[in-house]
Amino acid sequence: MIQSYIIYNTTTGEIIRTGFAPADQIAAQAGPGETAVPGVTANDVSDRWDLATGSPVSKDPLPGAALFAVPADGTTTVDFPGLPNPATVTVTGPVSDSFTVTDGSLSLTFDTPGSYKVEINAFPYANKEIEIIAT
Amino acid sequence: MPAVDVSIQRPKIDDPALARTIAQITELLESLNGARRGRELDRVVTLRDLAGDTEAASIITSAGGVAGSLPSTIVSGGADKTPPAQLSNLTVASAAINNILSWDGTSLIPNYSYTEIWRASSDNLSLAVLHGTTTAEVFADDVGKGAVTYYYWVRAVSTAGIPGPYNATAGTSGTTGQVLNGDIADVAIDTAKIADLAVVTAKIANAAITNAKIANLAVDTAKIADLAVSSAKIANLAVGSAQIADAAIQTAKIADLAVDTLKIKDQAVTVPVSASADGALSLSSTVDTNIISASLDPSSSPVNLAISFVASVNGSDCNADAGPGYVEVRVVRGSTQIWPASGYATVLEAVCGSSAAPGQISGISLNIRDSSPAAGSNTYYVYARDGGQGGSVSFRSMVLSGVKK
Repeated sequence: MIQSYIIYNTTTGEIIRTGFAPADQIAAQAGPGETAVPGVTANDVSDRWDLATGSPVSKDPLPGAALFAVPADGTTTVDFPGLPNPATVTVTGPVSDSFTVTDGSLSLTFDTPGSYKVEINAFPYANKEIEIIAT
Repeated sequence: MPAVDVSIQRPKIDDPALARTIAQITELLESLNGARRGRELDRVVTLRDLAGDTEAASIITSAGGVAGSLPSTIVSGGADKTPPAQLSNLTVASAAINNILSWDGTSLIPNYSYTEIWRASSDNLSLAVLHGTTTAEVFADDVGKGAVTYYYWVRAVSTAGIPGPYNATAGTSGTTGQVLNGDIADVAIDTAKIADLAVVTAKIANAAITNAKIANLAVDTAKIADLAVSSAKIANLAVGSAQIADAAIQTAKIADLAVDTLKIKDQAVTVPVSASADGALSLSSTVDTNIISASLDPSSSPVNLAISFVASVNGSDCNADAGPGYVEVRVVRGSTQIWPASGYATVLEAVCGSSAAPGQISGISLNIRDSSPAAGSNTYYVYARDGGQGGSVSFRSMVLSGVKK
């Protein structure tokens, strides 16, 4: 019998992947440091595994504004303090970039005008998309 | 014919009554003698008187002489014309094809000669015909077949040929072939007495035919009513594969969880395992990033891997950097690389122009066959890395299909 399953990080509760597999092969889906849970559906982007309750819950939103307007002068920063470590940042726009924040603080400057989309993926928060208008 | 001289000497009797009685006796004897008183025609005739007569002597001689007794009826000059008496007690006993008649009375008829047997098919004496004669008091009428009824009358005929009266006006009937149940001895009818095809259904009692009366292999399909065989009549393990029509077993006839692996033909079932993750993963140029993994136990059969993901690379200045950004992957089973044969396969590469290359994003789909998986569970990993210009993958998915039982 094919069952749904989720794999979460045993320590943090981050849902790493989900899928479907024969019931007797679900346990084998978990790698080192991972736990497999059969019969559960969730999404790794929007949900996390609540280690206290043993069930999937929605991720909390990352605090902060979702829209900024800054001058494209290369010096004015848009700051995102208090990020969890690590936090993956993807910037797409006239100039694209992606990087990982490991010190808990993100400051962005723009020297090319345009509209940018900044996506921050920082567990245990939900992915956050921010629009930055650089003029 | 000379008279007999009877002379009775009278004794002297003093008793007047006795003397009177004796006188009366004397008178009677003298009258019978005819010699002394009375008329001649009243005298008695003795055998001795008759012995002297020629005609009478002939009669006496035929009757055995004077020493014997004379016949009760002495006729002279012709036969006895007396009709015989009526016979009695006619009975008819019927057998299979015979009627046996018997009666009484012939021995009481002095001039009996024989008995006539008359027969009719109805109880009407006027329709009867003479069927036979006999001097006995029994007659066997050979009717010749069963279930035939006749009526009978009998009458005696004298030696002078004169018939007497019939035994009765009403006939006495007899019907052949009337064998009643009581006439048949228990266990008397054996198989040879029953004609072929003679026993019909109505002669067989309900529930009379036992199992022992049914020959082996005697009951064929036509003798079993439609829908007559219930499950209770089918022994455990009695139904073999040959008794089940092709395509006869439907899904509803299979219990939940009833079909186990051993009942499935080898290579008949595709066992899928899927894994997916939507979130974006940043790639590194120096460290392999496991972008998706899944495990499958295909029982050593080949495994098909369907891998898909969205890959993106950052824009780069082709003139300033070492080259265009790219994403490359490799697929590993455990610690054994299965695709490409070695190194990495580039699945996305930015296009360099005269100036900065724009970012590139592309959906990647890989279909790989692993022909020699190891025994037991096999874990497949998709590793990716970028060229150092920055790259990521998202919407990662892998479906493993093992052709198994």
